[in-house]
Amino acid sequence: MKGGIVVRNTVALILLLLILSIVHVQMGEVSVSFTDAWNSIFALDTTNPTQIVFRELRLPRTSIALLAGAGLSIAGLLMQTFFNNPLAGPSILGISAGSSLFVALAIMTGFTLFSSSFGIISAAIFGAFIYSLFLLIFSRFVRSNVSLLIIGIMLGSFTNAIIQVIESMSDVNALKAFTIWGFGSLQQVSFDQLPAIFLCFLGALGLLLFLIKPLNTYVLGEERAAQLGISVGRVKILVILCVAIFTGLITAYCGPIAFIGLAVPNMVKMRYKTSNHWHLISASALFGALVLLVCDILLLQLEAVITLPLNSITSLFGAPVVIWILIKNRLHATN
Amino acid sequence: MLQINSVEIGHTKALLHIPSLQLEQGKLYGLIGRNGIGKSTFLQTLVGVIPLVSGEILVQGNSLETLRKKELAKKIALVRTSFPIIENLTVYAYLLLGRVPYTNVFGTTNEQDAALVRSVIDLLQITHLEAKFTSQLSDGEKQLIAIAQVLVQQTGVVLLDEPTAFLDYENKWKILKILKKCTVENQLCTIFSSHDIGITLEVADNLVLVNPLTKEIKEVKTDAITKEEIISFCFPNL
Repeated sequence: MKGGIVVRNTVALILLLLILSIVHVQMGEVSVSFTDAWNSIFALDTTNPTQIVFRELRLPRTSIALLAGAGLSIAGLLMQTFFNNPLAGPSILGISAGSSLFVALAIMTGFTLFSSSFGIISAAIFGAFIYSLFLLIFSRFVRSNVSLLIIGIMLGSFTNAIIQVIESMSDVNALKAFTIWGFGSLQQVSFDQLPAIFLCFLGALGLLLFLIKPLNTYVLGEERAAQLGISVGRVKILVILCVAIFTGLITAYCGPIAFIGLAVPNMVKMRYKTSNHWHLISASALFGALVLLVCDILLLQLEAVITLPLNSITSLFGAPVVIWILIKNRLHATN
Repeated sequence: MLQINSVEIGHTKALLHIPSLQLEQGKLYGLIGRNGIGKSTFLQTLVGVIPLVSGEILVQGNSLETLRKKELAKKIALVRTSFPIIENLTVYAYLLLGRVPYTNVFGTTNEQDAALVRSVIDLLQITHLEAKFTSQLSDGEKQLIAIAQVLVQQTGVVLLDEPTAFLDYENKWKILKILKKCTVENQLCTIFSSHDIGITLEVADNLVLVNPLTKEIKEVKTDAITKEEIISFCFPNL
């Protein structure tokens, strides 16, 4: 019975994603025929402007919307299960800020190590990894979920302050580039970068396969998981690695995107009422992709009237969800 | 069988010294001692969560420290006093997690696992709880399914840290009777800690007593000791 609902929901989500992807990819002044779309990828005619637009603007934007939504949601889900805290997520616990810090260093200072475009990705992933490690260490010393949350928020503020210091010392052009990056945007990816992004994403998904059993066991608490033969140390490293790759990769290309990682998994849990991570991960990925796609469609629709940064839309959607979770959990605790 | 040879337990610093103790299959042991004397630490050490300070513990003939975690999980299990807060987990799914040490890297369960869960559900007569979420259960029901999960885990040695702590009189009896029944039928080596001397005396086969002053540990047959003797040994300040 339950399996039926899951299958039906998944099929519905995939169909909806397909339809919205087509809507998203067609948004703009020129409409692209299927033949043009196909040829732009496999047999590009450089004299055909429609094909160029599709290859360099439309396809990368739709692809990254799907990947970013899915990746951030999975990262959020991993952190929520791992820290046993429904309010965990890459942006709220400062992981995105860690990524930003290293990207800021890459863009605005003269580190030669971080100069190429691959340098920015590795800087972002490295930043996310370091900050996940920080959180892991702090989580040893604090018992309550709220304390960890406050530490994460403080870590984020502290890091943003450092970023501001770096900003104030950098030159105008670098500052402008970094500021635009910080608004969060899905239009900074080019066609040539897509294969590498897909590959990284698939790599992280591959790691994830080995985390499903541990995560399902982790809902019983870390101690019971260890008692059931789960090697806790290895799980920690795998979780941090996955979160760092997803968050770092996406932050590098799209800027820090707020709230998706926190809000989406919680909505999925409320809808599916399961703690089976096969279902939670696939549903979070699909629903996360859907949410970010819808956010970007809204953004594109509103472009004629007003140009908004992506982060403002995701926050408008995400912040109320967080407040809702807090209220629900409070009711839960007082019952 | 559990063989303890001159073991020191504690968090980094030795809290309790256990000279020599041999606990057998098919017997229910009651562990009695003052708060903070190290009962929980002892049980957590046995299950490998807290490392030994010194000495040697053999779980069914295998040294605790050389056994791989996954193998240890097939031989010994511990039920903690408090039940974790879990969202969206049905009792059935909770019980199936007892099979984790036996499943492959992706955690796939098969018909045998499902059949085993069924048989434990029947044994403990908890069919009515099966479809409920664990968060909806009462304290007594939570204790019951925690025991059920350990039975699904199929370990020869079962440890329980104050299984009757939050329960009313009726549920205390129910839980301990179930423990007794499972111990005999499945030939388990079961150890539970308790502050309820009266009930423990009636249910347990043997007692393991801890003296807080001398830190001496004594194992006795239940019918060879009276309640007064237990109290004067475990709570000499009274």
